[in-house]
Amino acid sequence: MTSPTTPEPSGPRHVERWLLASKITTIALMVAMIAGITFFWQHTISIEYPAHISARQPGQLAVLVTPAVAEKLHKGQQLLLAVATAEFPVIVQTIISDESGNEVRVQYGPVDAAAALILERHSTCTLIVSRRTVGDYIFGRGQSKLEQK
Amino acid sequence: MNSTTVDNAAQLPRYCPVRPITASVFLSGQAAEEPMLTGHVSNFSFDDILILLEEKDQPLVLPAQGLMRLVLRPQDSALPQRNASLPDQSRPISINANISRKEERDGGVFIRLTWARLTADQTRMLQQALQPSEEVLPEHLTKDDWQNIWRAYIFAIPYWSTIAVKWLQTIGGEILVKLYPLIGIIVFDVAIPNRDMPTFVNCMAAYLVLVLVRFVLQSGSAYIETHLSQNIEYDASVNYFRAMQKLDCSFFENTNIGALREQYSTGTTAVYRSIEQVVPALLTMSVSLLFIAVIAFRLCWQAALVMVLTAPVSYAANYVIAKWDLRNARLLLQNNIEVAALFQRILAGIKLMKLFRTDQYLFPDYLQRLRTRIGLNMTEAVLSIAHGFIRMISKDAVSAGLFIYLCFLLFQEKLTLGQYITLNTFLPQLGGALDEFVGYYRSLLDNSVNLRLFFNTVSSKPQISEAEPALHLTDCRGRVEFRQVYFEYQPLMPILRNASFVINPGEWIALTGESGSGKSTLLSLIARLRDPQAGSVYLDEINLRALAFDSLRRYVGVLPQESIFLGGTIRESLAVGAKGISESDIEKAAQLCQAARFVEELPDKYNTDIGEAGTRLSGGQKQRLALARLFLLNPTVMLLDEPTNAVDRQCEYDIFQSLRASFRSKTLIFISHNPDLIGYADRVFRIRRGYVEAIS
Repeated sequence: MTSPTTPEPSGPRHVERWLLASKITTIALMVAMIAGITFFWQHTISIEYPAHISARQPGQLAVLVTPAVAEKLHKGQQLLLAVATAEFPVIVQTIISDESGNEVRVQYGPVDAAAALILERHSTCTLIVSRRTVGDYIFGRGQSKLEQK
Repeated sequence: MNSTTVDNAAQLPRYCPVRPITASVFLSGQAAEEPMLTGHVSNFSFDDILILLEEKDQPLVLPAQGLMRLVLRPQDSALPQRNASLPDQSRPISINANISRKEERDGGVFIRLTWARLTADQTRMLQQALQPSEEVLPEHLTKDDWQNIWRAYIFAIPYWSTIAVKWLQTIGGEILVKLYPLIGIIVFDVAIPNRDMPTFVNCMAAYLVLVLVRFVLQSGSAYIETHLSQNIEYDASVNYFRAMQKLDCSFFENTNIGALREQYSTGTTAVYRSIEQVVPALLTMSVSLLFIAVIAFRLCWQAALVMVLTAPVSYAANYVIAKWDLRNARLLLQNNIEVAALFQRILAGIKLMKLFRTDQYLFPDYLQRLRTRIGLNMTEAVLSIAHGFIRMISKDAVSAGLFIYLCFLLFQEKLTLGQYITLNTFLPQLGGALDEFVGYYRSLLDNSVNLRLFFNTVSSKPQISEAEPALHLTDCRGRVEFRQVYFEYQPLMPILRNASFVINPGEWIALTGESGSGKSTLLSLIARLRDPQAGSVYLDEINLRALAFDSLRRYVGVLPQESIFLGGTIRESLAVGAKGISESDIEKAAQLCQAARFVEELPDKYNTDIGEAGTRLSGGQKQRLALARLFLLNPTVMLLDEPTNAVDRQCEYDIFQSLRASFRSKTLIFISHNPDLIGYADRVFRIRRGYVEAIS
């Protein structure tokens, strides 16, 4: 077998410079892409709804939400209730529509004493229905049965 | 010198038939159907044949001597008749021969038969037995094909890092494309139903970033691909041309330049395609397929499984169609080579067409090939449609079924809208990736044909090569000797037989003989443009086979019958091959060859452009300039093949007078039919029926 010789290519200099630039850009982009995908994959998606704290009872809490939000909630559902920088896990106990039908009252409980103390100082809160990563959403992992209607 | 017969048979070339020939030996005059001996032709030469005998129960009893009748029958009678003028290959040939002796070797028992002069038919039949059959391109990659792919990869070694980056770009782009639908899941399942604007904006931003990154990767990939293909094709071209330069005249005499150009063009591209195709493409395909398969299976394994199960159907369709398609593709390749070859020949013969006011010179053949090409391309289109139809049945029908199934899952809320949309994108992609995988081998096979033609030419071994180590001459007296030289162009058709003579330094020899008697061949043997099959040629008692080409070209100069010019100016044309020559040397050489007069009359004199291959010069002008070019080389041995056949008698006389005045001390061998010129020679050699005779 005759071994082919491989002569040196004689391209103009700028071609080599562009080639080097292209190589560097590619490697940088690939690294950035892998980092970006990893970050995005693990990025948490939360569905948050504004709510208004309507009543506080010892160990219990009631909030007002719009009927559209109330549709996404159901009894026994676990979610988070956030005020300012604090978050508290809560379980839906009852969903009661008010007389006007514009707002729905949702009762949660139990809330511990420390949380109750913080909640006392706020009248508005946010209901966080789910907090899952993009990867979990895409492949349907970690979807709690409680979240499903 | 008296004519002599071939008395040294051992030196003569022996031929091994490439096709089996059975040999039956009958006693002369024997009418019986049963031959005395049967066997296979082992090898044969100009005057004898060696037959390997078949095993016999009875011990072999051979007559001591006597005339035998030998019947030779080629075995592959099914081979298509290549040339109508040749005898039917299946027809047995009967030859009278004498049993010479019985030999026992490792391979078995042989008998040697000596034959008398062969008839033209018998010679042709034996010649044809030497020609390899038309190469049947296999339907599978052979060991040689894999070896060719490996050889193509040698060209990739200097660019390994660029190839790696190119692969990263490709695979990066492939993965990015597959991420688009995944973003869709978040958009359709989370952002839109929940009116979640921040998530929607994030997804859109991610999508735009992916598009941008993919664009940058694709642009880089396009740039690098051009860089790679151009450089690798450049290297392959250089390799091809170097191989061409090493090959000798016989290769180019048997190969059409147009066909070579076509092979070169497709071959250099095939080298790059092989590099790209085998490892990077396979890796890309594998990664891409794996990526799609994982996502598709995670989203809905039942649908993905159904799609994977269609792969065998696709493979079967591909296999059936590919068989016809491959044959068609190869016919198309052959057609392309033939068209290129004919095109080259038509262009070369354009003058002939004008002279005879005819466009019939090869043109009908050319048109026929073009029509064949149309037919082949149409067949390819039909095959492609058939392939598409089978694919439609196998893939699209399954896709339709899957669409209904996915809708059903959507209604049952077992699938979200985002997952449904994503699956609808991924499942066809999965089918496409599987198809690509299935068709991969076929694309390798297609490329292997071009690669094979390319490397066949690149690895063609020159029949004439320089010895290693080669002898270098520092001085040359100009003594030329032929010792028992035997030469033939066609097997069993000698041009020179046992030629033995000596030409002393400074001797002038005129070579005469009928056209085609071998005069030019004799000169080409001295110039080592060809090597004899037996015997040797010596320069100053050094075998030409041991001599370095540089020394040979330095001391032996040739003026071929047809003046060959590359183009450019007269000055450039004269200076070809000569080193360190001055302006006055050029003018002096032109003066000697009676070329100075017409050159001086030209407006640009020595700077006149002679046109491509010297087309702007007359035959006589070209011949005189070719002679001047040889004089500038100042070789010790000058070989002139009819040096003045294109000039008038006065000019012819003047040239020979100049030659005698300036080069009388050189060894000069010239071919001429002109008695006046022959008179300049010290001795005259005549070649007749392959024998060289000194007639004065």
